[in-house]
Amino acid sequence: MTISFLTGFFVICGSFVFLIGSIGLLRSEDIYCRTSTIATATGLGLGCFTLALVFNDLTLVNCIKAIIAFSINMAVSSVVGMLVGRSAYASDAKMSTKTHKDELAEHHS
Amino acid sequence: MTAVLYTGLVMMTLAGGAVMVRIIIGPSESDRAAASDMILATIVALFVLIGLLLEFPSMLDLLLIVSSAGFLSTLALVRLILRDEQ
Repeated sequence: MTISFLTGFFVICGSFVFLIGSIGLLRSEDIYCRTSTIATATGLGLGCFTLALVFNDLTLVNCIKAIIAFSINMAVSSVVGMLVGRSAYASDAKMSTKTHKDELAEHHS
Repeated sequence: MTAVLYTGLVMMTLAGGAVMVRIIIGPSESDRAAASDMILATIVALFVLIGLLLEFPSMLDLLLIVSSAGFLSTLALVRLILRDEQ
């Protein structure tokens, strides 16, 4: 019963993170905000679903698999976010009008 | 438990729809690359939910493989955008 409750809790948490992330993806003003949203939503959202699967069938092998999947997922989502931001900067993507300072441009000049 | 899983399915479908809108409206290629990464994660989460609903075993293996190899598509897109700029 407890394990079933935890599975449901993490499923709802993960779905909520994905839903909020996708709304943020629509509402963000520039690509840099969007990459930040995506890195958070995919890392945390899939992490929640990993935990839901572990609590659905709690064995030692599943725990080891889940720890590996969780750590790889966290690393990969942040690296992908940074890569997309870098490619957007290299292709001169427009920044939001609310951006005050571009330290990378000052560094290169 | 089943009601919770169905609620999750509805929320994930709405999330996937919103990400598809971003892929359609763009405006730049980087936006679409970022949204494609998000939609991969959304579809995997939908698979996990369906797996929980139908009591499939070994959904954790699928999650492990996708989290370790799924970013390659986004990496390829990013390389393509960077090469176009150079």
